Amino acid sequence: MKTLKQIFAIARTEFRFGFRRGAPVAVTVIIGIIVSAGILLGPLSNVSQLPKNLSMPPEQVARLATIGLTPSEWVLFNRDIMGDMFVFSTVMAWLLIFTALLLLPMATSGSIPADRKFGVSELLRSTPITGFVYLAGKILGVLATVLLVGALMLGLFFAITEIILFSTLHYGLSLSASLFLIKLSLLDGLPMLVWGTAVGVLLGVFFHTRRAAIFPGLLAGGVSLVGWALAFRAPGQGYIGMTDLAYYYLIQNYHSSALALESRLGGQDTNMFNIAGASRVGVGQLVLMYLAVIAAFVILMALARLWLKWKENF
Amino acid sequence: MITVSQLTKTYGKKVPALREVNLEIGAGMFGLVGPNGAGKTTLMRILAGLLRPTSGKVSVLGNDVTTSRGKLAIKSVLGYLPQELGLYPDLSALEFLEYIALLKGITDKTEREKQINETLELVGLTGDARRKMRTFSGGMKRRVGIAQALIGKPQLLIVDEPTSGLDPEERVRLRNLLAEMSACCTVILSTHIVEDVSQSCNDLAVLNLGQVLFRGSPGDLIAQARGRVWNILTSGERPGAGLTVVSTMQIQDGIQYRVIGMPTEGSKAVLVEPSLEDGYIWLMQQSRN
Repeated sequence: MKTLKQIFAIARTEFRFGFRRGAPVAVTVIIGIIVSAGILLGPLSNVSQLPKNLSMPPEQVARLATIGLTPSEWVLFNRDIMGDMFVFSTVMAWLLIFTALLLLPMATSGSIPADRKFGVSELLRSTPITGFVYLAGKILGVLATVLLVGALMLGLFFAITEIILFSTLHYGLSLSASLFLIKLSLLDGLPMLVWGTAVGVLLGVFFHTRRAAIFPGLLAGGVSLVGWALAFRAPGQGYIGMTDLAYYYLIQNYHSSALALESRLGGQDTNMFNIAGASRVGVGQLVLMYLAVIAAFVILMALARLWLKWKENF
Repeated sequence: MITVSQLTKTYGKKVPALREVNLEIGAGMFGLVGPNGAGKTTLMRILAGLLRPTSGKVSVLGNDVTTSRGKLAIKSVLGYLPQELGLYPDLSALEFLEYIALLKGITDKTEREKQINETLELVGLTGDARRKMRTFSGGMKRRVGIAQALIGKPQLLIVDEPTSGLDPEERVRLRNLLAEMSACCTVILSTHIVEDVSQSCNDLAVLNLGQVLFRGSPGDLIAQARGRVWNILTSGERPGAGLTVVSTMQIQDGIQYRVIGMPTEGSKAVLVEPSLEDGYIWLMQQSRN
């Protein structure tokens, strides 16, 4: 209990500083803008091509009836199709979240050097906290800042999307599309934000000034990006390319209303995410992926801890 | 009780900071005096569990400073004021003390608030507690440093150069505060200002070039210089070689020098009672010779 409160105290103080120092906030906002812009550019350029007026002549109603659809079902399908179109455009754009791996380590690497800069480090080390508590508190504090800003960006993205869709098509994003994006954020984006933040904070252990940590932070970001893409590359070939297992898993399990309608109309299976020859990725593999990330994180944490012990007797 | 035995600390491979230091420090207020670079801060940091000794043994309140468990045990009863105190400029004194109190393991909110209010009162910062520390003067920052050291009711208080940057009134107040604290815990005061020690410590050690030159009471140190401190009045010329001038004062009949050493026969020298500072200077002079 005491240890948890100590971690929380460090995290809370760091959270306050996170907003004042600006770098983690600014970089998270930039990442959010890049991802949002990537996602929105595609579908919104096509938005005018979708039907705006759903009142239809009797002959069209009759034609729908031949494939077993009522006009209201058609409206619903259209709404879902818009959501799905949005999602299909989004999935590749979502890869831009990889910028979090590249930029966050640089932005968050100043957290521990800042304590040295202010001269507070020695004072903190004189209190009965272990190096683990210190590192855990720092990571949690910076992470809280990044996640809060990230969540705000996600909320902002949804709000902008809904406004644009409603103003042009009078439809909102479909529920399934919204849930898909949230799943993508939690299972795919979240680990990257956590990793990028944690790597940056831990990297700061090795440097005395924030400035000295900037370039190594960028380097660590590059290594993280390449490492992540290589380690979690989807087992399929072709369309998906270099993306991670969580992402692949999500795509595999996304049931598109648009494709369902298309297959109903055309009588064929056109699921674009069924890649020929690719093994199905299950939850087990997804768990394995996160275990691998956690193992790498534990190794980094141990290295940082050893460095603190060796260099600062902490 | 603090026991230091054959303690050596070398930075890198060639820079010795402490050389086979042996010390025993009991309850009360202990002064550690020495010139800059004598090794005082190194010794303080080793006692606080912040620095690993190169060799030797250090036991603080029965805990070995070289083990993780020992360090943690020491830190849980320690109040520490480093020589180079740093504070978060964007926090208020209250927020900072709250932070330190939590790190010191005071999890009960009522107890925490009580202790914070008491220490703020002790250091005279109650009225400024909610101000950001970036607006504080050097003396106020030092007082925040003292307050954070007092949080948690430490059994061992290590203060490294606590009076630097304080005005005379604040120095006196701090000395009194530390003296009061020494009634219930061990206080180790490291300083190069002899006056601070003379006013508050009943036990002291003088450190120079990483070695203990003297260990005893202020009276013992004063006694070392007895019979060697003189007032010499001249019309302007400085006293001869071999004498260390402690102070110079322009008076009506000429210039009065307070010197340590043995003046030549025939000089107008008057033997005076030494102070602790005289004892210290005599000791340093002897160590150089």
